[in-house]
Amino acid sequence: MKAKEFREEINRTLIRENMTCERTLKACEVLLKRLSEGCYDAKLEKIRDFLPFTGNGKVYISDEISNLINSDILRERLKKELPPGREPLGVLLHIGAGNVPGLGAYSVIEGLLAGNINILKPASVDAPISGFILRELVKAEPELKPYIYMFEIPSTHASAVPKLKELISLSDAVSVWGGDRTIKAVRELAGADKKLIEWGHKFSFVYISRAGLKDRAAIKDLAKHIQDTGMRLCSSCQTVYVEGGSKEDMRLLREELNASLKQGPDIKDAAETLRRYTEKLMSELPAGSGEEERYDFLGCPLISADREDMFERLRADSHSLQTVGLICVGDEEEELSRLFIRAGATRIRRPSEMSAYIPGEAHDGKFPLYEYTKRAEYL
Amino acid sequence: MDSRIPLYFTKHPYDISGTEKYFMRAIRENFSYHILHNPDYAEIVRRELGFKRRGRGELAEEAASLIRVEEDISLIPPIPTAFFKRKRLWTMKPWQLPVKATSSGTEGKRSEMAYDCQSIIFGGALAGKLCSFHGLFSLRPANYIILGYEPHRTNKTVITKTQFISSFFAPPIRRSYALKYEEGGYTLNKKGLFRDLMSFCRSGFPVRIIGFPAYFFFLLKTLDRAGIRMKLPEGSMVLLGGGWKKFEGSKVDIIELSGLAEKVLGIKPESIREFFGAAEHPGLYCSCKNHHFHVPCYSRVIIRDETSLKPLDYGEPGILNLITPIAHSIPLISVMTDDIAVLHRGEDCGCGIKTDYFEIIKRVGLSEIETCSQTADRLMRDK
Ligand SMILES: [Zn+2]
Repeated sequence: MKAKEFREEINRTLIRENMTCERTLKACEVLLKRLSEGCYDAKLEKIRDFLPFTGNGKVYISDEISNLINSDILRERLKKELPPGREPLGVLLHIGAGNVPGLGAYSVIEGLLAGNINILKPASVDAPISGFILRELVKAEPELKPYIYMFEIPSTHASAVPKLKELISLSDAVSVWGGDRTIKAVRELAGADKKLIEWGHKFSFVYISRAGLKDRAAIKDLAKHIQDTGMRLCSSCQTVYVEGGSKEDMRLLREELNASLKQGPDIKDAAETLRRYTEKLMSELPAGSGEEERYDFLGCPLISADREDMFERLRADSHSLQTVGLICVGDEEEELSRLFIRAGATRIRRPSEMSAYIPGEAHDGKFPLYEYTKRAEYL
Repeated sequence: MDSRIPLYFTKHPYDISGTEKYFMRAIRENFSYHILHNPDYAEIVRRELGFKRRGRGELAEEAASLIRVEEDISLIPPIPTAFFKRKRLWTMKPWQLPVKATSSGTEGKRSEMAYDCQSIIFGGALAGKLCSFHGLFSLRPANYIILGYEPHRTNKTVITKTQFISSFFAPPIRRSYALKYEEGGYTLNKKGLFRDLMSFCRSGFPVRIIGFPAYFFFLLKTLDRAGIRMKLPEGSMVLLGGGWKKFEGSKVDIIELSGLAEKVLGIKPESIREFFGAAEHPGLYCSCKNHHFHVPCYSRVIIRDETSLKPLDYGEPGILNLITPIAHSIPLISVMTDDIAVLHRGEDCGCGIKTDYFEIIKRVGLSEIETCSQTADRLMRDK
């Protein structure tokens, strides 16, 4: 389609009456039902081969999708995030990231609920899965068709910049997911007057106090959390800080984390086998071997830290802090929580709940549906 | 005498029966060498083989004596490539190692490899023997299309070095790169590449296309879609290597690929050769005319069960484990890659090479995954 025709088509849709969120919810319900009936199993299995993600295959992907499109959760969110009198922004361009399968489609669904026309440029790894979800949504509710567009634009391609500029010029706001580099690049492309809604990569970590080191159950939860989310989500633990951790403490912690892993489910997957075996060999290295000994667990660094230094250490990245998992004893909780929220974090959680989705909860301290609408006043 | 000398300078690269005794001796020598000189490796071997704590000299002797026949090689603890990405397991000191390289991979997830003088000489001999056996050397000058990165001092990956070296197999006239280094980064040189391919085609000199199979496939698809049909000059060749990487999803098998190449470039399937190698394994595998990777006499292949890591029989898919006695720099004697492969009996191929061959089925591949941990990386660096 030519740029001019595309613009005209969008404008025609725009002046029409707003699309109601009921249609989107209905489509999500149909999709969820078909998913739970296993209609998509074969298709998802195929898509899985294209994905660089590991995990339990189709179960994993369909769980992830189910969480994203659960209409009960979405209804809750509509109630909580959209006060009366909000109107859609108009045309939303979504620039997706590749860390969560289906993230692009999810962003589009949020845009739809807020009543917008949505253009998605998915991350290349996410394109198959997001494309699939969006096609199925349109099949379930054909009325949605003029509200959903997807363009695959490989970022290495020479024409990527002019194409993106074209899409940005068509839209009222750009919702961008990704790392600092992506966001900076989009900011430059968009110019000063375009509204940008940024969902940056976030840094989440776990802090273990001296007393917390003895909490074996919490450490087991932490091992499970790291294994399950593999540092993929913004809310997954990406570093573990150990208060005043000596070399011995660090070794013991690593051993304990590894030990809880071994009791975990037996995943028949070569990647998992290799990962565990590598971990086992790492733990067999003699204590203090070489100057470069780093402590980590499944790639997640374990770092010794002092409570007094934490604030200073985190401050420089305050804008990208998100979830803090706390392992400590009762009377330390208040002090530590306050410390981390002041440093820039937005959520304090137990390790087992760091990435749990809680309906109606703000993402990075913002409500997406609210961000995708504006306040309008009529006569 | 160092048993590697008769092994690497043997006449026929696939003569396993004639070199077996040298190979086994070289394996034992290499195994005990690393145990003796590398305390970290010794500790891994000690714990994996369940030896009681004892001196490294004693351990080296006992561990090596376990490896009597070929089947015993699987007892040598295989080290996964991921391990090298986390821990430098160098046996020799950096200043003793003239060649250093990194595996390709996302930031922070590379393994640093280094080779000692001797292994470089043996590696050269091995590569030379294999390439001349497969008729890849030619004195006729050729034009090169390189479907990969233009060399630059900032690019230390093995694959870029390998591609560059292979552009000397026939005297180079001109080289045209798919990814050109410009203003501090690589850009895709699509137009230039097509233009050069057309003009090379008319020049009459053989054309050699070297590069990643995925790029070759994309090139063919683009030409095919545009309805372009060419006839590459007599003696032209396509040398592919480096795997499909993040394009695993678009992977087509080599038969389909060579069919398309014949249609678009007019090149015969047997002129398309594939290489297999890994940064962590100083060995080389060149496909035969039936597109199979036969195992040369310098190395062995073990396929391991994806859960128990036990060695598997012919025909059973599992994790690829490569064995070589070549290097003193790093214990690369038994390396486990991220590839899922199957081993087949040599006689099943029918190309004339008698040794077993393996087939790569897919990559376990984790490296391209985008994580949310950039900030974590930065915090680590700042510290
Ligand atoms: Zn053969």
